[in-house]
Order: sequence, then structure tokens, then C-alpha cells
Amino acid sequence: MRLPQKSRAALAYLVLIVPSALIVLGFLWLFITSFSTRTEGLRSLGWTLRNWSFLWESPFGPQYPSIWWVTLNTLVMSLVMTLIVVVVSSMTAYALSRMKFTGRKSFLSLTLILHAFPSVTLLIPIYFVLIWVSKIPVIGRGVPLLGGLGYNTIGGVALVMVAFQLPFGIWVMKGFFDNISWDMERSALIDGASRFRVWWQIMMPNIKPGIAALSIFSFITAWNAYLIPLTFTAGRAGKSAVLSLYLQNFISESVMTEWNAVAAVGLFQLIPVVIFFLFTQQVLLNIYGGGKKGGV
Amino acid sequence: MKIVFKHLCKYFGRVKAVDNLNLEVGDGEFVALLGPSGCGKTTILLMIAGIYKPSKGFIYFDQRVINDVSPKDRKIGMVFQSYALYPHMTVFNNIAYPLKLKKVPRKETKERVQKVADMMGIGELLDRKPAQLSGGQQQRVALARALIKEPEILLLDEPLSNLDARLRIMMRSELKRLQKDLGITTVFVTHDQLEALTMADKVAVVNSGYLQQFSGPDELYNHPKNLFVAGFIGSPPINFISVSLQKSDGRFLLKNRDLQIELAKEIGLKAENNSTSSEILLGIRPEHITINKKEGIETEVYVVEPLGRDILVSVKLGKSMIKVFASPSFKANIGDRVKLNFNLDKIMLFDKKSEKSLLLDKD
Amino acid sequence: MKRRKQSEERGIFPLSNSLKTRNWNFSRLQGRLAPYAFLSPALIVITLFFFIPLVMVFVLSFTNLDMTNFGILEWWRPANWSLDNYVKIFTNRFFPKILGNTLIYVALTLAFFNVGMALIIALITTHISRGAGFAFRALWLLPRITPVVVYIMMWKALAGPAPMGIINNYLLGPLGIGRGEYLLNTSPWVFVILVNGFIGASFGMILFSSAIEAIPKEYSTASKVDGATTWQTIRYIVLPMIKWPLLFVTTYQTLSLLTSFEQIMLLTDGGPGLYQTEVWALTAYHRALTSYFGNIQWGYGSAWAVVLVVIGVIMAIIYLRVFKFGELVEEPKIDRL
Repeated sequence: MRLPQKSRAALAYLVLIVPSALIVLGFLWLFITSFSTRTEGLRSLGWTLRNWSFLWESPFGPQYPSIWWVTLNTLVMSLVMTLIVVVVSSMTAYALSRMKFTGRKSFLSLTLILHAFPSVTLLIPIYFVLIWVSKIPVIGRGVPLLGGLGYNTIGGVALVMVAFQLPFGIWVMKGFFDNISWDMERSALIDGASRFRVWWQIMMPNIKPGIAALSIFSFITAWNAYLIPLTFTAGRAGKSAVLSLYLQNFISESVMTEWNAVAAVGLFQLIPVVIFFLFTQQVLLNIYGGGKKGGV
Repeated sequence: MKIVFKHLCKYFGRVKAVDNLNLEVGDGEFVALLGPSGCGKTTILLMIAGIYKPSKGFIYFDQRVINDVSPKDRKIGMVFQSYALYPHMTVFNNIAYPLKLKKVPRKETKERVQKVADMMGIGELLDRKPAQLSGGQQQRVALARALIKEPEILLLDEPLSNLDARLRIMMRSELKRLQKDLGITTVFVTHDQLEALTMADKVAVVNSGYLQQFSGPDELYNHPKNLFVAGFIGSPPINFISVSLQKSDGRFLLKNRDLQIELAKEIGLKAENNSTSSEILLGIRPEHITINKKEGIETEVYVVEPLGRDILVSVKLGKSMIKVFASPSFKANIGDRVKLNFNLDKIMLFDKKSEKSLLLDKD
Repeated sequence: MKRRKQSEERGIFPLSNSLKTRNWNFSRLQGRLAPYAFLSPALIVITLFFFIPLVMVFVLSFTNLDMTNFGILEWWRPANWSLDNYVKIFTNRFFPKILGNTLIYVALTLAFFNVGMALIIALITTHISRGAGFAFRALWLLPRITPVVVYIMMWKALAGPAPMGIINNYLLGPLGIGRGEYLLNTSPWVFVILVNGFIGASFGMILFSSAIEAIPKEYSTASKVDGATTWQTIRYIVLPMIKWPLLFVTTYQTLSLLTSFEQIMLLTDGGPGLYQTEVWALTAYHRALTSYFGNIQWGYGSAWAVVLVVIGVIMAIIYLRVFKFGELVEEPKIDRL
């Protein structure tokens, strides 16, 4: 029953190539469909640009925000979330990796538990927390651009995503800090730097690969986010809508879903990520680069 | 500035890295901390720097206890074994960093950096990044960065270990000269006894957290306090021969199956008084044995290693191996019978149990 | 003589001197507080979005808070607490179905993709040319970085009925399998597993391939010289050496799969039939946060969630014990003065 060496190798390649082909086909379909009136499989039954008309006119009527407003929302949310995640996780990771303080071990175990903890199970109570935050004056609902930090605001959604991303971020950053030589930090302390300066002027410039990896990862996560914006904003095409919701809205609003138009919007959301990804994949594949020592 | 350690201890969990260290480094002295790797000598240096906090005991700078003074307030400069240059800064910014933190005006910073860089011979390299420098250049940058603050104490952690052999010999004399010119109290750590002996005014030999001996290079070499120091200092290492001390008719004899040596009376008396039993170790350095073919202790040549200036002969005496320096004119082949004569003024005697030297005056 | 010298030194350096410098001063205080300053932003976020919610989800699960009594019911009062929700879960007609679904979903996705496929990709891509290996790995990262709504849309197109659907058109049609139906209706489970598996495989893939690349080449060369086949090399050299990443991915991904429901929600939303692909986490979400049956039941939904929370906490603690403890104990090499 033993297969010859060659055919077993062939079988292995088949197992890799067939599913890989599915991914390629899916993306090809997305591309072809968005420029077609109709498709059968990958065959276009007529080319058109009409599917892309959402770029210049709102498909739901003028009372709804345009795609550009939604894109701006998504961009702001993603950038804010990325910035906070990177700054807060690197501060926390620095303290955990490099400083002695009472409670260090417990805090370390805590982040590790949170890293594995399924945060989505907490969506229900977080809904209430956000409603409370909404009631705080100014920061609740009065921040320009973000809307605020409470329920149904860009800032609120960003904040929840920060929370969900933070344990991962801390863990990734700690891996990178752990690998920096102690002598360099000692040397900076002897030169007269405070711990804060050491963190900012000496450590941060030396973990750029880690910062890059975490930033890219966080940005893509935020840009793609669906569940959290869906849960914590009201109305899918409202002022605080993001691209994922806008797209989902497209699918369910129209009685007869116009798949070609949906594909165009989907591609619109996907293209920046893919371009971004192509330029940064090397960095992204190394996200655990810092933590190699621990195996993970 | 004077550095004094009093009952200094440092524990890492249950490991005693430094145990009850008492030591005084005088103002302007060049002191080496010498010991095998992992013996706690770098820990001592880091405690002086304020990176590690002593578990017990005190460190004084002059009259002041500095246990709790933060590193930046200690007026120290330190060069690390890895040099610990900041890879993202140019050489100029590396050297200027301590001044930048002190908010020294730009113009003054520039002048001072240029001055110290010229002194170290790296004035042309200020625009480079550390990665573009050779090991020797990196070390000079690290030294310049340590010196620019005009520290009162200079700490060097294995300053020569990352350099190649030629550069090491050159830097050895240069560092020594620099220290004498600047007159800064300097403590350096090394595992290389040659480095310690050649550079330092005084050497502290440390092993497994304990101070073994603290004295000048000459004293250390010729009058080691114990077995560890005697064995650690000197290359090729000292020969140890297990013997028993016997007294007959008022004569003191060192005897074992293969040899018999008569001791001078005062040496014999001292050894007898200090020893706890008759089982002792005879120590003698290779250069204090002469080799010939006529008279002396009978041995057999094991191997001959020419070193150029002289030759190193290993001979077998019973079960033990003894190394002897001989002049290049001495000719011998493996298996030849040769005879040894010990220079009795230079022998050392150690108690087998306590490992202490038997020839020192009791405290 | 030495003794006299010692006592002299004591006179020069009196103890009171040392006490003076041990007093609290500003820079010392700053040193003590600095770590907590670094930690405080994370602490605020964690308190707000983990601690408080964790307590709340337990409290809520004992109440019958829903849309009709919101604002009226004082859910924080123990008087209003009961175990009714839990009784309701376990006596639910669909409880066995949902439990079964969850187990099937987690076990099959994990076995075939998150570990199985991940391992296959890692093994193959580390043994072909660097460029090709990299391209394959990048391709398999695509599903993870594609916006989930777009990604699901793609799968719906792949699964579409005969003239449009890609799988029907190019795979099943030519092979003469099936009659070209909408595959999401005929075999929803296959697609639930495929959709999640294609995303999940990349996590293991990254960890496994870097672990395999870290194995010194001499080992596999030596084993080949010894006459081992490729399969034997993998079985006796590679797999034992990536034991820890394998174990880590398995446990970690079990937990992620157990609580992930986003893709299923968008793909089948638990359908196509009644509860056909409804998993535990999706049920919790449906009860508490979507008006599935016209009523949002926060209390009841929380009870469903609590079961997952408890499993999550237990597994996270086990995972902590197994994997990282050695690294946690490592002490910083700079003392606080």
C-alpha cells in the first residue's frame, strides 16, 4: 500500500496547489466581476465601469455619507487605533521586559492570559461600558473627527479594538525588547538618561522592525474590522460607518444583490491592503521575530 | 576619587555573586578585578556603576555612601565589553549623548566632542555609524563617550577581549598611558591574568564571589596567598607537587616517592607552624626549575615545545607532569632521562586542606 | 593591627552618613513610580475593557435583562439574580445540536487546516526554492488580510450555482459531480470549515516555517546521508524538533476557533436550515446583540458567553503554565535603586 516516493511528493504538491488555486480563483473572480455586467465563472459577459459609479455618486441617495467620507472614517479609525496600540504596547512591554517593580510577575501572567483570552466573549458587557463612556461629557461624544470615545463613535470603536489588540501587541513588543542588549541600556543610564528617555531615544529606534510589524498588522486589522464596528455603531450607513459596514450594507439593502457592484466596493476596500501588504510582507512575516527565543 | 567596599554582597536569588567584599581603591589608582568568567567581577563593576544595587554592605565614593545614588549622579564613565554603542546614532551623537542629556550648549558640545575624539584618534570618523567601524575604532568611541563627561571614576569591562591579538597588546600599553595621563581612578575587569598584571597598579583576584587576594602584580606573582591565586596567575601555570613535610634531626625534608628536597631551616619552621597536617603542596614556577643531564631529581622528557626565546619542556615525575623553561640551546628528545634542580628560594608551600600559603606571616 | 584599621574606618564613615542618603528623595521616588507610569495606559484600557466586562458578564448572566426591561430592571442587585438562564441553556431543544456543531467545527477546522494544512504548507515551502516558498506563504496570508466581508463574498461566488459558481464550473462540472446546486445550501459544513480554515492556516504556517527554518541544515543532511526517505526525515527529525510550536498552535487555535463566529455569521448565519451551522459563540451573539427573534436578551446571551469565558480562562491558564513560565521568571538585569 506504500506509494512510491515520487507519487507521494506529487500528492503533497497537489494538496498545496489545489487549495492555493482556490484563493487565486477567488481573487481573479473579484477582479473580473467588478468590471463586468455579468459573469459566468471567470468569463465576463460584457465589460463595464458602471460598477464603480459609487466612487462619484452615493448609491443609497444623497442623505447617506459618500464612500469618501466612509473611507476617511476607516482611515482615521485605523490610524488612531494603530498609533495607540503601538505606543501603549511598547510602553507596557518596555516596563515588563526591562524594569523591576512589585507586581511584575502578576502583570506578566495577566498579559499572557489576556493574550490567549477570547475577548469576543466580552462583547455584551463592553456594549454597556461604551454606553457609560458616552455619558462622560466631551470625551464621550464631543471629540472632533473621532466623534468621541463612547458608543456609536469612531473613537469608541477604535478604543475597543485597541483593547482587543493590546495583549498581542504587548507580547510581540516584549519579544523585541527582550532581545536588545542590556549593556546598551545600562550605558544610556550611566550617560545620564532617565528610563523614559532610554525607552524613547535608545530602545524605540532599535526595535523598528517590531514597531513596523505591529503597526502594519494593527492597521490591516482595523481597516478590515467588521464585527466590532457592527456591534458598536448604530445604523450601517450612519455618520460613523466604516468600509466593512458600508459594503455589508450594499449586500443586504438591495433586494436583488448586485454582485458586480458589491465586488467593486469590495475591491475598493481590498486594494489598499494588498498594495500595503505587497510592500511589507517581509516585515509582517517576521512579526514573531523578536520572540523566537520563547519558541513563539 | 577613592572607592571603598565594605562587607559588600550581591545575591541573585540563592546565588551569591559577590560575598562580603572588603576593598579599597585609592584615588587615581588603576585596579584590575581578575577572575575566571562568572566569578562575580562584572557584578562588582555594575554595582559601582549603580546598575545593580548591593544586597548587603556599602559602597563609598570618598566619604559618601552611594548605594542609593542613581548612575547619572555618580560621575562615572563606563566602557562595556560589547562597547554598547547606540547603533542608530552617528559617532558624533554617540559621544555627545551624555552632554546632550546635561543640556550643554551646542557649540561647547561640538568643541568637547572634537577634543576628546582627537585625543582618541577618531576625529575623522565622527559622521560614521558604529556598524561602519572596526572593533578597535568602536572601542575608542566607547572610551571617548565615557571620558567626555570628565568622570571621576572610569570603569572598563573586559576592555581588550573583543580585539585581535596585535591590537590587544597595543591597546594594553595605550590604556595604561591614558590612565596615568588623566589620573582618573580606574577599575577594570578581566579574566586574562596577563592583562591584569601588565596594566594594573593593583590586582584584586576574585573567585566565586570571594576576594582571594588584593595586591600589586609583583606580590601576586611571587607571594600568592593561596592555591587559587598561585594557580590562576602565571602562564604556563605553576607546577604543584604533592609532598609530605618531614622532620628528622632538625632538618626539614619534603618527600614523596619520587623526590626529596631539604628546606632551609626558617622556611621549614614557618611551614611546620602554619600547617595543619604534614600533607602539603609544593608549588614552583617553570622558570624556577633548571634542567640538566647531570645531577638532580630524576625525570623523563614527555614533550618539548620551542617558544622561540626559550623552550618549554614537560617532564614526567612519577604520575605528575612538570613544566620547565630551558634555554634554546638545551637539546632533548622524548623519553630522554633528564634531571631537575629547584630554586629553593622561590618555592611556595600550601596547606592541602585550607589551601592557604604556609610561608606568609600569620595575621 | 588590622583590627585597629577597621575601627578607624568606621570612625571615618559613620553609619549616620549612610542613613542620610537612604532617605526618600525625588529621583528615588521617580524611580519607584516610573514602571507604573509606563503601565498606566495599558492598565486603564485593560480595566475598562477586560476587568469590568469580565465581572459584568457574570453578573448579567444571572439576570433576565433584555430590551423590554432595560432601564427598569436593577440588574446589579443580587435580589434579581437567578440561575434561570443556565437552566434554559441546558434544557434548550437545540442545546445538543449547538454543542455538536461547535465540536465538529473546532475539531475538523483544526485538524485539516489550522494544524494540518499549516504544516503541509510550511514543510513544502521550506523545501522548495526560497522565492516560490515565499510566494506561496504570501498567498496564504491573503485570506487573513482580506476584509472579512469581501472574503466571504468571494467564497459565495466560489460556491455559487452552476453557470456562475466557480467550483461548479471548473471542478465539479468537468468531474461530473453534483447537479450544479448552490453549494452553500447542499454542503454548508464543508464551506464553514474551508472558509475558517483558509484564514486559520496562516498562523500555524508562519510559526511552523520559521521553526523549520531554524533547524540546522546538518540534521536533515545527516539523516539523508544515513539513507532516510523524505518522509522519515520529516517524521523523525523535523516533527520532533517543532514539537513546541505544534503544541502551541494546537492549543491556541482551539481557543480562537471556539470563540470565533464572524465568518460563520456572514457566510451562513447559522443556516441554511434551523441551527444547521450555529455554533456556541454565534448563539451568544445572536441572543445578546442582534434582534434575531425581535428581542435582544442581554442576560440570556451573557449566560451563553460565560460558558465560553470560563473555558477561555481555564485554557489560558493551562497554556500559561505549559508554555511561557520559564521566560516569565527571567529577571531584568538593571536594579531599581
